[in-house]
Amino acid sequence: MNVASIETIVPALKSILALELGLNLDPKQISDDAVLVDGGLNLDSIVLIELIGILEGRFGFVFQDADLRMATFASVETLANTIRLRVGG
Amino acid sequence: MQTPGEFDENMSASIDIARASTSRAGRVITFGDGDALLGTITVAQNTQSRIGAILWGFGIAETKTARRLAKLGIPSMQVRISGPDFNDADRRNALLDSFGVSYCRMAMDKLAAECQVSRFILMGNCACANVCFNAAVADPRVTSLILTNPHISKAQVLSVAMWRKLSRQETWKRALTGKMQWRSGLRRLSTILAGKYRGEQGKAAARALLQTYTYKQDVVLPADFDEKLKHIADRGVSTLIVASKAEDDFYYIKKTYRGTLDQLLRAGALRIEELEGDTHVFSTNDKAAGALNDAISRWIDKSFSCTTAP
Repeated sequence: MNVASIETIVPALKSILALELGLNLDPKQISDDAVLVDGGLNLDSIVLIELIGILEGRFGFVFQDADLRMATFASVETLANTIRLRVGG
Repeated sequence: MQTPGEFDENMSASIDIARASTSRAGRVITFGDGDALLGTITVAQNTQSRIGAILWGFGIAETKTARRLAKLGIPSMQVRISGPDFNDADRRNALLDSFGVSYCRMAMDKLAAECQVSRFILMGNCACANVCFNAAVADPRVTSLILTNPHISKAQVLSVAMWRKLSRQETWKRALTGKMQWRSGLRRLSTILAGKYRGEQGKAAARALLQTYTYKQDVVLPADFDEKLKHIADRGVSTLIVASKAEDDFYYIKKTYRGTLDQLLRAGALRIEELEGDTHVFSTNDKAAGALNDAISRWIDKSFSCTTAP
């Protein structure tokens, strides 16, 4: 997938979160500032690892060591910004 | 005694950093007897390493470690107990106590089948560190250990102190030659057993602690930890212990087994990294995870980079 802008990354990310991680949500139900972990979508560490694998495959990049921190996965926005940074958008 | 990172020639030649390009974790799978475990494999593409790693946990530190290993051409599998048992601490620890070593073997078998590896690095935190240690003692396929915050229960501290006292040759010599002053000896033993729990209330609490500590097997660091550590080092296992400076458990390990630890440190079979802060929170705390991962990375790079083919 050739995705470079935040406008295309965010909906793609929401679609992955809603449809591919077993959350049983409509992507439209996920807001841009939706919290991914505690108190939000409540993704646990296993789901986060699956998400990392899916995102790297789908967007064609590799998370750097520095990206692997809770702040990256704080919300849809923060994660989308990291993806944009890595795919060169 | 083998030094860390020294493996047989085939193993060394099988890792090729230059060809280890990208790594990627696969989807989470259930496996093992009765689907007891969950795991995800991180493979390094285009490599044929014969060394694989079993990493207990799905936290940031384990994930980073998996990716660091993949860069060196070493595939790994992050594992944990599957199902609702994982979220019940008592049940989880009981399962690890009864089946921890078997779980490690199942994970090694699975990774061996998936990635054609035959030697293993085991990594675990707290109770899982103890499981990894016991698995290394039991299974000759284990060549390296990463133990973060090995757990020592208070009850274990008491029982180990008593065991070590009774196992000293001097104690029995004194007893057999009639030089043992039993009354004062028993008083000292009771002091050890009571420990900090002085007073009637404290003594009752100490007794209750000993009675309620039900874990006896895989999840417990053995009383003869030093002998077993020496034994696996003789077999060629290199060990990294990472612990928080604030950890009482590691303070106890250092104090109790200092002689053996020093000996193995000098021989290069052991490395100890003591970190500021609470490394127990590395799954949820970026700073703690970073410090822990830096320590692990230093050891991985030192132990495994030198074995790679040019």
